[in-house]
Amino acid sequence: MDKLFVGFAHIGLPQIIMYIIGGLLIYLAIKKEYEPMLLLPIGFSTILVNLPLSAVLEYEGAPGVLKILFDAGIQTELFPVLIFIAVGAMIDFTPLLANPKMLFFGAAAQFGIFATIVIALLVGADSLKVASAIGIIGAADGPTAIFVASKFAQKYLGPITVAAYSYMSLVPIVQPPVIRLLTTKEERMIRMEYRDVKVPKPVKILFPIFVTIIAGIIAPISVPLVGLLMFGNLIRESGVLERLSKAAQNELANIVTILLGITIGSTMVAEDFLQPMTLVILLGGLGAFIFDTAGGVLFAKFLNLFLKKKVNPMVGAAGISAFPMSARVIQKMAQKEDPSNFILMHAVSANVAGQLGSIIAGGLILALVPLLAG
Amino acid sequence: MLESIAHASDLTKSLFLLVVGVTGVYTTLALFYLMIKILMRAFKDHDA
Repeated sequence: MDKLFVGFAHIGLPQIIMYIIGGLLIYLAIKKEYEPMLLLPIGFSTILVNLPLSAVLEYEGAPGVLKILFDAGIQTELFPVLIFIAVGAMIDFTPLLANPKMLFFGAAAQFGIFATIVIALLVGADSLKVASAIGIIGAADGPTAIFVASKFAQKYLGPITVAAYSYMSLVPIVQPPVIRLLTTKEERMIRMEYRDVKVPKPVKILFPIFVTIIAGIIAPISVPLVGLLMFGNLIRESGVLERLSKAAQNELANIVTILLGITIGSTMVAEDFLQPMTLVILLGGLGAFIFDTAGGVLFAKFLNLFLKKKVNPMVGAAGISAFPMSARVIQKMAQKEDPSNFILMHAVSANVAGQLGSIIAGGLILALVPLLAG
Repeated sequence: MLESIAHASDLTKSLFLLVVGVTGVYTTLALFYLMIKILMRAFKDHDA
């Protein structure tokens, strides 16, 4: 008789809190449409793994379905790497190739990642590896955050992923106050001339190949990250693999996203999640987005000290990887100050540069942290 | 250099990472910038 009601004996307050958190993630995904493709599976999986005895993780000594998926897809880094092929097939680098100066804004806006690593250590991250996994939330790039966290802090993969995707969807709320704080009305009204540059097809094809080679030489450990992203992009730009390009953008992306979301949610077990470190991760992630935005804006203001044709400093904030949301936020802010000001194309170029910059930052962290941490 | 940093505190290591990381991102993207400039010049007569 006891065995019939064994489930009731294994429910406590921590499990109930996790059901509420899971429900909240599902609510945010459905009602607010905050990154629903990831937050909904993570939310549901949070409920699954906190049910009594967690049969999805282990049952009668044998690994459960989510444990099998975790070992096969996250431990091996297979899922995040497959997502990179899909993301690569979705990215159009043309705005960046037409306006390569914007690459430097993509670099400036990665400042938040590294600044947050320092701060995370000051406020309680237990090692440089964990602090790096928190800092990478500032990449504003879910797959990169998952990839780095799965290497350095698997225990915290759940909260890191939730923080990364939540803040990405909150870019319209996080960025504007930081930008307004660091810029004057006159600066936000600066107009930028745009020239329509045609990008030759060979450039679009050679770009992913050369980026892979350069990144692979600078940080060999980044090759799974950069290489497969650029492979996806090469499929797209080759012009002869349209079917594969569409498959990568749709079928591959969809299947891996389902598996990735539900598997990451399997790390949201009450004992691991309800810890002070989760708070450090959530606050650290927010700090990373704020520092990224500030880094981009301040870099643009610094450049304006020397440039004849001034840059609208808001474009610097678009150097984070949250594409295309950040570019849209910047354009909206520019038009709020001056309805006839159109800086969207510059912001899009900076935003694409941010996608590249975040992956390079991730690659450098993967290369440097093991050397430093020993 | 890395060996001397490896024995330092985590905070010192993170500051080192901040400097080297930011410099590394700028340097790598600067190389990409040069590469794009060279490619655009080399193929300027090709169709888009």
